[in-house]
Amino acid sequence: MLEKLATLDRRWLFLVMAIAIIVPLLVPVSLPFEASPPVRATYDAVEALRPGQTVLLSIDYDPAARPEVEPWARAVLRHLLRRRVKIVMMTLWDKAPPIVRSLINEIVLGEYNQRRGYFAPDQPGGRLAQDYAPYRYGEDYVFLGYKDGKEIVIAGMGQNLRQMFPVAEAEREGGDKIPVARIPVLSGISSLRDFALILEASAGFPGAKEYVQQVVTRYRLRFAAATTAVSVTDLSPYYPEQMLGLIGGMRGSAEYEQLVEAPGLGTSGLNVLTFGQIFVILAIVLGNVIFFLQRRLRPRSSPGAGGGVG
Amino acid sequence: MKQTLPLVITFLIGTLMVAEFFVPHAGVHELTALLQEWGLVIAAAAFVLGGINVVQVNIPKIARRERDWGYRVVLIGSALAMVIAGFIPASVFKPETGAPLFGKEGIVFTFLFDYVFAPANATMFALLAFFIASAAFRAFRARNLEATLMLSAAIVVMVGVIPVGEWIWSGMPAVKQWILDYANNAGRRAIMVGVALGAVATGLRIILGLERSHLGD
Repeated sequence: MLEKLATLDRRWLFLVMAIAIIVPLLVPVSLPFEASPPVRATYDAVEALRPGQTVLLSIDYDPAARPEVEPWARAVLRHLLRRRVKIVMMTLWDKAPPIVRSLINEIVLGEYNQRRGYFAPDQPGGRLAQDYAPYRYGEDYVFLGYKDGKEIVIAGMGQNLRQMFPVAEAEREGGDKIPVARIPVLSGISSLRDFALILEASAGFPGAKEYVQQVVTRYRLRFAAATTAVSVTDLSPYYPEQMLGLIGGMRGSAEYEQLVEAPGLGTSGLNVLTFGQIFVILAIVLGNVIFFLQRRLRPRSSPGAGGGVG
Repeated sequence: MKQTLPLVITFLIGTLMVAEFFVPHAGVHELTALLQEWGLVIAAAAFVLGGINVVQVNIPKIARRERDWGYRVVLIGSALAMVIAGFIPASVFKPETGAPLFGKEGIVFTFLFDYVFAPANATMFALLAFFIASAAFRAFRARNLEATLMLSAAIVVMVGVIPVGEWIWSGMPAVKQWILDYANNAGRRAIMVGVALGAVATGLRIILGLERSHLGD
């Protein structure tokens, strides 16, 4: 029996894992949880922004990391809109521009400008900015686009943002790119130092670590980032000195959603994570129980083992 | 000359880039900004070079029907489809209303990105969940004291991350945070400082011409 369990076909494990992931998607279970200090610190930093201040939001992830990091990107974008701050978006990842466009289309143009979803004032929990007016491209927000060069771009933006991004993306596809000198939202912004806050959704390289190493410490910038859970251990040494906030994985995203009172993909994903993680823990425990039982039984069953006893 | 010139260039540019951190002179900043722009141009050129390289490596293997040549056809075909969909100007086949057919935000490119690339990319990442489950059962063993410590810390952090941890014991997230803030950070910082010192030493060796492996030595 023990031998059979020890050599269990791994497809059974795959099946149980699949069930652990699919069931919570079909039957949502929500357990209460509290926001951790690094997440709350990020929320407080956004909450402290004054209307009209300019924030840089760098979207640096690909579709693979979308489930973990995008819930935060959506939640923080909603939060920034509610705070009525000016938003400059950009990316250092070649696969991210369509993601940024979808965020703009769904949240800025869809939800906020058309007063739907989270911003619908007639819905329970509707969170509209007090001084509501639609966000206009170039005046209230802009997408600078994608720039390759990794750390060079980050270091360059620390010195001269316009040199790294001389033009911004057009508002609509097919339009001409806009010289940054003609973009009102960038008036008074010449380098990263001019942003009230820098936020980044980071899924790896180049990401939060490169921001810290290249510019955050050097220019004493106010910087917070959301990362995949696997990167948290890498970045936690930077909190709270270099990074004023750190949102780790799906749990961090769910915590931020809770703070902005907009449960979304992070909160529902946390349910899935919970069941998946419980199964992994059970697999570790079961694997070790079998391991120790086998070790205990082995000397008795095999006469040659046990250091010559008997 | 073949050796000396690259060494001189490395020395001059390396020294200038380091000096930029310590010399608050506008001229130095302008010069380093110019070099950074050159860096961007090289990075952009690397994309083109990468594309040429993919074609150069794969086309002959397809022609010779080497092992897995079918996958190479898919690779070249997919790359071509994305390039064509993105490169054709949006003004071509632009309807009166709605999104254009081509261009990097056109219907074709968006469709390929949203319904082919994104699910395939996410699937590769999601497969990890299954392999982690298998590895957890088969490989994660408390064989000795170090492994037991790592195992215990991992379980506490895993339980602390999910809401069930708080449900079991309200102090669980605090314990998880303590492990991250103290045990993890202590180790990480030690590694980071070591790596940073190593990077400084290697940088100096390259600038001073003591390290020449990048020149093919």
